Amino acid sequence: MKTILLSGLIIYLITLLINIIGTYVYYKKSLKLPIKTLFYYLIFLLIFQIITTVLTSFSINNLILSHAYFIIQCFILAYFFNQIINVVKVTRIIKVYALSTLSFLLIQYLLFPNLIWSFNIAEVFITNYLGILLSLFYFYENLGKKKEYQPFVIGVIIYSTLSTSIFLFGNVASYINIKSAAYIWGAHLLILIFFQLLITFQWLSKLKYRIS
Amino acid sequence: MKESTTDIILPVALSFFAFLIILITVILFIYYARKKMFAKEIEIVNLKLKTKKDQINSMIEVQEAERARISRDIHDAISSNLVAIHLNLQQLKRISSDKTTIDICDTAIKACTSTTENARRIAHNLMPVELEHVGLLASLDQLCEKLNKEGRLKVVLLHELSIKQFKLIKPEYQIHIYRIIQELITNSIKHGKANRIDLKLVNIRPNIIEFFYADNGEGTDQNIEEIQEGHGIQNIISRASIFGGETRFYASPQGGFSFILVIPLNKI
Repeated sequence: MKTILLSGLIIYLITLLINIIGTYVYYKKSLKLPIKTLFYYLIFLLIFQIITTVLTSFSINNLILSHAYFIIQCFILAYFFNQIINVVKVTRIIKVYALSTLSFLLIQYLLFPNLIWSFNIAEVFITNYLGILLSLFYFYENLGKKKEYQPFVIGVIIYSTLSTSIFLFGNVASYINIKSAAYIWGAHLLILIFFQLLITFQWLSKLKYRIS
Repeated sequence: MKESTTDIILPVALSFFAFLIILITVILFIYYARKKMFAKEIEIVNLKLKTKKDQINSMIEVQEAERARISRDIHDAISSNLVAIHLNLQQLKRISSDKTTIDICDTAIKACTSTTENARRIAHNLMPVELEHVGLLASLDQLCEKLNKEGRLKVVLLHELSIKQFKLIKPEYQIHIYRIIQELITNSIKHGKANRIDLKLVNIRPNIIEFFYADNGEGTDQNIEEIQEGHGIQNIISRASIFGGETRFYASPQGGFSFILVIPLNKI
């Protein structure tokens, strides 16, 4: 299982690096702000992955980083969707949701400080749900129109839904004593790779179109 | 054991709740997306209909302009020349002592008079001159008088409108109302074989003139949708839409055909 996880991690890091270079090249050619945000999002994923991998290799508990991961990811995605959905109502929803999420989590951690040292399922759901919601908003607003960020937004929907499902299942499984941690992380890695492949498709198709 | 069951129920319930929220979101998205797509489809259909209507309207307007031009040409180029020929022939007849020449002149004068009459009739049918000069009311009066004189048909025109109210209808729209009435009368004679037509113009509501039309013809067993598919009726609907008018048709197999035209004065 360890070998599979390691191979998965290497594949994930390779796709991530390719996507960072690809989105950077595409951003320099198109100068589109959402692509710049996507580039920063990928940089964030890379830094985060390196830190967690290093911490894991030194057998240091990196669970505390999961909070930062979900919250920062939620805010970057909110910022990205704010740039691609030009509807005042939706941008207002994004701001209200992001602020409410932050306030809710802040209150939760103030009331229950112990949650910082454990896996917070409410945090996983709330932060991922925004991705699902905004992706659906994006598709709704662009019904019958050309969807420029379709591959990435599909990736967000799939990743957010499956990642929520996996963590919720993992949470339930841990209560009924199923030894599932490795499988859960393996499945999560698989979704991450799939998400990266969709991002590759996003910049590659646009770049090809631009060059042609 | 009890404690562990409670411990499992909470995460399961929370997971179930989370999935429920995602499911509701997706269902709502599908529902609203379908609604939006449906509204878009209706919008496209309406746009197509509007384009078609605009095309028909501009076609009618071009047709009217062309009719007016031909009518003017007949009047200016043919009728005036015929009058000149007529005068010359009369002059020739007066100065001539030869019987054969006088006979030829008489025949030519007759032909000239008949041709002038025909030219005037054709020009009038193309564009009623009185509509331009004396307005819709007088034109309708003349139309009814002409039809009554022909004897085949009794046409009764009633109106409760003042000349001022008639003048509220723009001249460019008056021709459409006139044509609608002409078309209805043609239909009553041709299809309904009617021998009486009643026309009524009333001003019941402010800024609205209502025109009622009824004949005592054979009627039809066609339903309203089928009637409206007819070329003539389509023409009536298109003309009415030019000035924002509403049309209603009533027909029965027992006999008779009725029509109501609502003319909004504030739109025209």
